Amino acid sequence: MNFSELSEMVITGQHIAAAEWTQNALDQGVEPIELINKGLVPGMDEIGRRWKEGGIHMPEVLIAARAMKASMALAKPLIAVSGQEMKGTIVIGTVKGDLHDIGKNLVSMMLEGAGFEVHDLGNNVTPEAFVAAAEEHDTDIVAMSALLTTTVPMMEATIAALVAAEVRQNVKVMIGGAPVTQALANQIGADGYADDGASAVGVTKTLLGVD
Amino acid sequence: MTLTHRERVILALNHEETDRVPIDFGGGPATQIHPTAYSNLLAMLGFEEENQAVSHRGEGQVVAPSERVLQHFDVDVRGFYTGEPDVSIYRPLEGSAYIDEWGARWEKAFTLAPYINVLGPLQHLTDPVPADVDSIPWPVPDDPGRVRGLRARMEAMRSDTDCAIVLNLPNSTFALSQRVRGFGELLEDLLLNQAFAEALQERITDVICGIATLALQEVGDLIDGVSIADDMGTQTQSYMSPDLYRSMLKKHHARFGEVLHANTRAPVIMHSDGSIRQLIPDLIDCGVNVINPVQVNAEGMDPEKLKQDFGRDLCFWGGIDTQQVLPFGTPEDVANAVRGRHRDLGRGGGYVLASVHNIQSEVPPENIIAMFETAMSDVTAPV
Repeated sequence: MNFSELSEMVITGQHIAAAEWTQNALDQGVEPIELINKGLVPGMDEIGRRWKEGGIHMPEVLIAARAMKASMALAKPLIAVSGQEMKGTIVIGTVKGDLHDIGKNLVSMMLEGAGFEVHDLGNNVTPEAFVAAAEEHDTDIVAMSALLTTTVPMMEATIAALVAAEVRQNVKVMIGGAPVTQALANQIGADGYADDGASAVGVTKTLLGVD
Repeated sequence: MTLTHRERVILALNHEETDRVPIDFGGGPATQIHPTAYSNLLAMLGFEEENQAVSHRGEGQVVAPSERVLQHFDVDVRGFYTGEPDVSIYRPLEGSAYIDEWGARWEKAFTLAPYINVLGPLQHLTDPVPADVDSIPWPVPDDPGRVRGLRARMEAMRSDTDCAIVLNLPNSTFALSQRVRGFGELLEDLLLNQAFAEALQERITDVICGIATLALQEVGDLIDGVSIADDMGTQTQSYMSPDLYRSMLKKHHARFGEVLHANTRAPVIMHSDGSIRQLIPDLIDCGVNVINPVQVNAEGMDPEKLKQDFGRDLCFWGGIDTQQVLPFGTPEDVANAVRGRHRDLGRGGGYVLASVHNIQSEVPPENIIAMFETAMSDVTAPV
């Protein structure tokens, strides 16, 4: 299979073509994890690179992610069957008191496109819900977003809840959002901070020591 | 020569130096203050009794500062809004939620949190076509409720004070298209469903041009600025590339700009958060005279550079950072930001000082006082 064809369909945001290509490949016996790692991940990696450089904007990123998800929806259910694993498991959400989810959604789709298992809890997520999801999914990273300066303290509260539930030592914590800075990450004891959706992938890989 | 507040604003927006930089607080939907921060400010000023008459806006998430507070800080601008239509599909829902006149659902997470629009009436469509635009009810632009009493209130303000008057119109084509269709959904439509996006934006522009015409025929002769709002920037870049803006959105902004200028001699102030530097030349083409809020810590929004590149054609309104400096800085940091903006954006006129966005709940009152008192006292002409 020429996986670069699938990558190109992701990069140009052709969701219908990407789904057809994927179904055809799976029908021919291609391993789903190989399709993800050789077709989808390089495509979204290129999208992330172009976005970070400012060559593309949100509409191009969103249609690429839509194509990636159309393919992923066909490939991923087969992974559990064949026993192959994704690169790592991430629980992500916007913290309690904050209904903003656009930035968090972009980070979530970039991480999924990079080959991570992503459990997106949505917005207005309580510390207890972060803890419960982290315990349920054998989680490597808990990623939190906040847009309101008012809800930034909830990130610290969520970390405290992870500590209290004795989950903190098993996970890395990443934070992001408009009012969030590296200094804040240091101050509240988060392990990682990313400026935007494109850099979030790099920070995640560094934290988990994966390529 | 002492200037009246109105003269100060008019001169500044005409690119002329003034005795001090004009100040806005509460004159527009994004220069107001959270109820908690306002209450703390009143306590520090010793104005507690003003708490009795707090005027909430935006379903309670921000308050309009009282006339006493505005006069204390020598604020130069007073803002007005169009009213609610007599006939509308607006309705409150259970809990903290409501449907607005465009059919969009709004919710908030806690009592004093801002409302967020969570679902648009066309958001459920997977592959929309132009005919879908006719499937939902649309606001009636010339509903008399929108302007009832507006002229009388402005005339009273004109006779009671010497302040500049700004008319704030509802959101514009892009923000309303996203409200109806969904934020990400519309961005995808701009590439994947262009005929639908075009039909939607055309319909929405019809409505807002109608509202603007109604309002400006009523009060266009009384105002010193007309303010419109269409957010188009993230922290790091514009929502869409300049090419996509030119092919899909610019004609609607140009049409709206023409309607505004045809109905008032006042300058057009356009609000867009975020990094919009790449779009500024096109916005100037569309008749925008002033940009707000000048989100100085977003990518490409360095005030010195903006002034240098666009200051001949464009005025600036805002510029005092609400993400770091106001909430987390010291009063001295705030004062330095004010003096800095006076020197970069205010050089040769063309600047009205305001916070970049509504002052959030945790902003210390010392910082709010430092912002306005520095602006009031920093009278040295910028070099």
